Amino acid sequence: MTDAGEFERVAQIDELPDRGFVRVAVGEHSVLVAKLDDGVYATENQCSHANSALEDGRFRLGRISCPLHGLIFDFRTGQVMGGSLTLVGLRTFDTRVDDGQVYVRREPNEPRVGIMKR
Amino acid sequence: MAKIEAEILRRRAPADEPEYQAKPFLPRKPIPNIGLERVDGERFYSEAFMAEEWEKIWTKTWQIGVRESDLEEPGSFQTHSLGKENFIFVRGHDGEIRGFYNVCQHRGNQLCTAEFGKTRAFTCPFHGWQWHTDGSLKQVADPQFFRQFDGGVPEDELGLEPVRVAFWGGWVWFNMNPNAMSLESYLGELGTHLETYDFSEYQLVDYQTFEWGGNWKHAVDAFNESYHFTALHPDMVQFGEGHDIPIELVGIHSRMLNFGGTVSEVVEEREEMTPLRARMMETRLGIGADEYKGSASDVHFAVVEHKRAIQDTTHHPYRKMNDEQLAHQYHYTFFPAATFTQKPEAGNVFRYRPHPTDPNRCYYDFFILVRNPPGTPLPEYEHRVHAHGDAPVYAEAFEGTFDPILANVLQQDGSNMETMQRGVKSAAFKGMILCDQEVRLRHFHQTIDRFIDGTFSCDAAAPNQPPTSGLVQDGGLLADD
Repeated sequence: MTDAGEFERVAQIDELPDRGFVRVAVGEHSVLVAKLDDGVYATENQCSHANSALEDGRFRLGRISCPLHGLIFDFRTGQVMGGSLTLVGLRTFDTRVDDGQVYVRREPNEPRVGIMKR
Repeated sequence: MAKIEAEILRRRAPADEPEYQAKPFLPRKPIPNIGLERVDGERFYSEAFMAEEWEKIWTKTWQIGVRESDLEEPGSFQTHSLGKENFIFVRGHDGEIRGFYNVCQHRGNQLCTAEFGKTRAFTCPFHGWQWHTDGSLKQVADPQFFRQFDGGVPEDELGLEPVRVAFWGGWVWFNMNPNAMSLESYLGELGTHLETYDFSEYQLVDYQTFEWGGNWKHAVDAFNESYHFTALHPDMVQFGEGHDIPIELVGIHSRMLNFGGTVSEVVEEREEMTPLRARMMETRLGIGADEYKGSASDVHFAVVEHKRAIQDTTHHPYRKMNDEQLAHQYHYTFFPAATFTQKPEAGNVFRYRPHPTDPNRCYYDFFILVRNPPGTPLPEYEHRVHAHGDAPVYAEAFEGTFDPILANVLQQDGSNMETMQRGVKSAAFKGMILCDQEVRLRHFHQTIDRFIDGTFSCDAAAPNQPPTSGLVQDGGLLADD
């Protein structure tokens, strides 16, 4: 069980675009939040390869591509989907939606390691 | 002449037909006699032949690359492989779409490993050299370490190597020959026909690649004749006619007419609206079985009538199309590797690619494009690649985007690739015997031979450019010489 105090309100659900994400601050973390067809997801706005920001990358089919070298990550799990530059995924954050408000957990999850099978 | 053809001609009043941009097939032109010789098997597995094809064909002719609509924003890019090469197609921050070989100019590393993305600059992960989205050099990492650059970094020399691009039908085409004839001249007369479909209005809804265990030419050959329908596709003869169809060889390209909305003459009972016939006619032609009371073999007449009745109110370009285009499949192949199978409302594009090193393998790209009403948001498709040995069930792979019966037809087509590849290597195989209904194959292999022996050159300034318009006559591509 998580304590409600571990979560931070970041947006209203209707502020999230149909295709794309918003960048929010959660404590010291820069976080990208997206509404996909099965829920709201959040990942750290930092590529696990060369630490570049992901926010200018392309977002498509629930995946985000890093604008620096083009690594593609699954937005839901943070896992690497292509390229061979790193096996370490993005750090993700748990989310919850209450009464139209989107909350992101302050502590990130450990990144998953390994290429995600499509 | 097929029965359906005789019936169409019997009912047609040619004097009333306007002149259409896409020329009708009917009345059918005679199939030219371009020879009877067997086609050898070696061309399908010889590494030397593969090398000749690369040098004389793949690097000299126009190929389909990516959809323009996938490069909508400045900095958005797609990569695409052909043989040993990989290319980046990118919309620069100046708005222009360009193509580049995907190779770092420093040590030769593949610059970008992603299939799609958006970037301000391409950065080589190895040492960090960077290029702008217009291909010009952005920076060399630590140029002071290079004595060669003591006099300044030669930016002109170090740009990304461009590949020529041109635009047609919503596609970015490319040509590795910078001096090639224009895409428009290359597509020729048949390109003009297909402009009636307004392909740039089509939306890509599915794109899948199948790695097949056969040479790429087996794949081209598999789709360029319909003589195999009766044996290989028992379902298809229930809702179409491919048994005896009009075929035209136009310069180095070709087309054929697969009749839809009918029952093949190879089927004894052609009148009754069986559940399979009704379902396919409803889903493919938009006619409900309960509102149609005629014979199953005559559905296409009702289709034409229906589409003519709504041509002024629909977003489909029926008005620009001849009657055949409204009801039947226009099947066009541009040499060497692009096939368009068209209905007014949707089409499938086939792209064939050689394996980088192995003549026994190829890639078959299958695109499903749909003409949605204006304003429909661009669908998000996923490019799925089925590696050799994955053994996909095609009806599952295409769930939601392609009729399972037709997906199964495709599976049947693919099923011959490995067995063909094995068979043509046998000591018992004496070469292919091709009938008139397979004349597109004969013409295709003759065209390959003419490119390899140097008869044709696609250079813009070459006196021996291949013909891209005009019906091929008896004697074949060289009959006029």
